[in-house]
Amino acid sequence: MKWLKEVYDLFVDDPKLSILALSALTMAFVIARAGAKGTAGLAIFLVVAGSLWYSTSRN
Amino acid sequence: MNWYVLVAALLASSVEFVEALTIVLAVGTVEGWRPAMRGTLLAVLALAVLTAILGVGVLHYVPINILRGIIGVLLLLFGVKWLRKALLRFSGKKALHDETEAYQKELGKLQANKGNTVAAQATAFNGVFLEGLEVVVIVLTMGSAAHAYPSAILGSAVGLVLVLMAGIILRAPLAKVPENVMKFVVGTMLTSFGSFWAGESLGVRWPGQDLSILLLIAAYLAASWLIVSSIKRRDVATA
Repeated sequence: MKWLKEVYDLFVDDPKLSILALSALTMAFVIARAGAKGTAGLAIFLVVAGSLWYSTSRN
Repeated sequence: MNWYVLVAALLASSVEFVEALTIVLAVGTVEGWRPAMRGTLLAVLALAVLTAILGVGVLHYVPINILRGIIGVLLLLFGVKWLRKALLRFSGKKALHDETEAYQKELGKLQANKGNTVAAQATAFNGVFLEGLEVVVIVLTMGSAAHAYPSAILGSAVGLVLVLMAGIILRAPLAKVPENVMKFVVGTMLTSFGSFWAGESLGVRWPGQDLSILLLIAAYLAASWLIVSSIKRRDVATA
């Protein structure tokens, strides 16, 4: 199982940040499905940038 | 030629190769070049097999839209991880990565265990394999999502040649490579590519298609600058 941990560490440093990044994509999917396909991209950027700010400033 | 992919692969893989070189140099200095080279070659072989299996599997069996979605998510996670680390370093919350320090640390560990060539070979193998694994992830993800394997492979190969040449000439860790800045740039690029491809597969319509990648890079750079200045300002205020 050590290799699994290595793979996990390859992508995840701060689990909360990773969950927030995934939430950004979920949100974009919902927005795009609702018809605002152009706004969905902006949502990804705003949520990811906000998550980075949150993750780094609470460090 | 896809220049975005080439530059990102070149920068990202150079950073990883510099780190792998530091470990191999430390092993070579303490235990001689034979175990260092043996560990390195075994790791390269293992990585080549892994790349061939994953690359062929990915290209032949997964439809491109699903592939871009999965790869976009992985790149986004990979990118925010790098970017977070870079932001913490530039805002003074985390020590800047110092290759000379890393080399001395590795040297100390190996000298404590001197005479054990199997352990030295394993150290070289682990160092090259783990750093190389990140290169494999970058080449496979960017190459397949952008249908630009030649650009991704060329970028990494150029990075490898440059780092190898510098390593052979200097015979010392490459402390002068602006690794921290490179990690910051690569983190921004990977986050942008990840946002773009994952978004595209989820139905996002990006203005100007591929041109949006440049917009995303600029926007993430601006956001990073704001984050670093806000952390620095807050630290000054609380000091």
